Amino acid sequence: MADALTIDFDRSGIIDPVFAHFAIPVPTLDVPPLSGVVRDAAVRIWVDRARSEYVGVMIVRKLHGLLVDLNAPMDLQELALRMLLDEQRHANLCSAVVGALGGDSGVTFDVPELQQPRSAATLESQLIEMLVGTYACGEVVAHTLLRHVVKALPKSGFRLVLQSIAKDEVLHARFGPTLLASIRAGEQASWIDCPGDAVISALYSAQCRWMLGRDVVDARDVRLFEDDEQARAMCSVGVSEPRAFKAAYMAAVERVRRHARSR
Amino acid sequence: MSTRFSPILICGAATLFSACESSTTTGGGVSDAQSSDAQSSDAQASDTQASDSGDGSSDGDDGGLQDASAEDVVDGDDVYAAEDALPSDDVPVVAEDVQARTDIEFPSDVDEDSVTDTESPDITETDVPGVDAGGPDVDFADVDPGDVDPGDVDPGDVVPGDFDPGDDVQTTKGPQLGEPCDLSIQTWCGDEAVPTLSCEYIEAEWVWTEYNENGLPCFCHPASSPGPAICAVPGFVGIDQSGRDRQAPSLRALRRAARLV
Repeated sequence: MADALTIDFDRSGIIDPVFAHFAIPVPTLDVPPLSGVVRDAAVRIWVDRARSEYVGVMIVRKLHGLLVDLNAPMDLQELALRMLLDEQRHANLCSAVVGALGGDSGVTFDVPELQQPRSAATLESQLIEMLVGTYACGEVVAHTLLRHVVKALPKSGFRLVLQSIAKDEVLHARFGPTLLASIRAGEQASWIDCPGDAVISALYSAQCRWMLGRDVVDARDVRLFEDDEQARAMCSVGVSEPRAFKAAYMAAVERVRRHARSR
Repeated sequence: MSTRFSPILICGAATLFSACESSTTTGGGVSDAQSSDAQSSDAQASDTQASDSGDGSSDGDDGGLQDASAEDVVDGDDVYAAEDALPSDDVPVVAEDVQARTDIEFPSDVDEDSVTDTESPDITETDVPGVDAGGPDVDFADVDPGDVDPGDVDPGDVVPGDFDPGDDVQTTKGPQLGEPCDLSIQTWCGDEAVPTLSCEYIEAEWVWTEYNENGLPCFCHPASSPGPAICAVPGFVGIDQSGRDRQAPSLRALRRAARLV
């Protein structure tokens, strides 16, 4: 039995003015001349980004479901749906870049990445875990990284795609810390109790510890960037220097962890 | 041996979105969400941005959350808007003309030099949970994850061939207490996603120990019971493992084949 699946990121082909009116727009990108090595690497990296964003869709589905089941205030539910559509749009954008670079529309996922099932823990616990791990840690780091990449890249349509994603990440990065603060202050007691600082602290610690263990960048890309010409070509299609990217990632995670521990 | 992706043992690929729905119904409103018109990106228009050195890693000590200075010049061309921001100002406002489109800016219709708003979430000090980690905590600042190449690690490698169901630490097949481990899998989850073992550095080697309360929780990958915990992080945070190439059958092809049976 398979433990991974390939999902098609294609369009229906339906031409309908109302559909078109509501459809998420897809960018048109001018791709500079690229060597085969650079093109293949760029495709792989943008596929990775599309995958991450689509996993984000699945994660926010879970978040929204928890909020619904806890009868969380409607504005929070609406923000979750907003973030869900953001993630879908981000996946769509990244997939469009893959297409522009000549990649195919299939993106492979581990099945659990798509399922994002609930655990046996209480709904409240699962929500707190998501708020800390995914949002107060993961999305805060993601936001920092996007800013890093946008700043590191030259102007291009590829960078504009990343800028567009970064705009949404402001909300995503704010959602967790803000809601957690409100829960801790007892302002959300009508629907959820604060589990206590010790629990929240442990969740921060665990998530940051795990995040520090990720590779973050591919060793192949590090090698590729050792060649100046290839490095410039990669930057022209929205891929920044991987060692600096990892350094920014590590620093961002450390900041989140330090921040959580210092309060 | 327990597999890394045990959910598939429960729910087959072809049933991912059918038989497994009980575990994935939390997002039942997805379709509805996608027809929402709340697509404006204006929500961020009022965030305040820190004075930022531009390297993406110098946003202060908070991951960019407490940025508060007036402006942020990036690469000499991207000026990050410096507008007043209060939390209440950040509520997304859907402009009348954005029902059908997002504020996505593409080369065809965007002046790249225009002001962007990829700013800080702008959390004030009082907004952020002030928690004291307490208890022992490993300082991973000194740990270079690059020293471990997860690409060379088969999660199954840490699972012993022998399994004693009477073991009082674990109730399911998995690594044993005291056995060597590596940091690529930090927590082993038992039945019902209960964390049972932590991979800890003891006396110059990584070994499976009793679960450390500060260890990775099983919520990261609750369906993997038993199995390793894998935290889900959405969005732009880089890859899990270097050198991993993924290939798998197409979901559509599997479903098509199932229909033909």
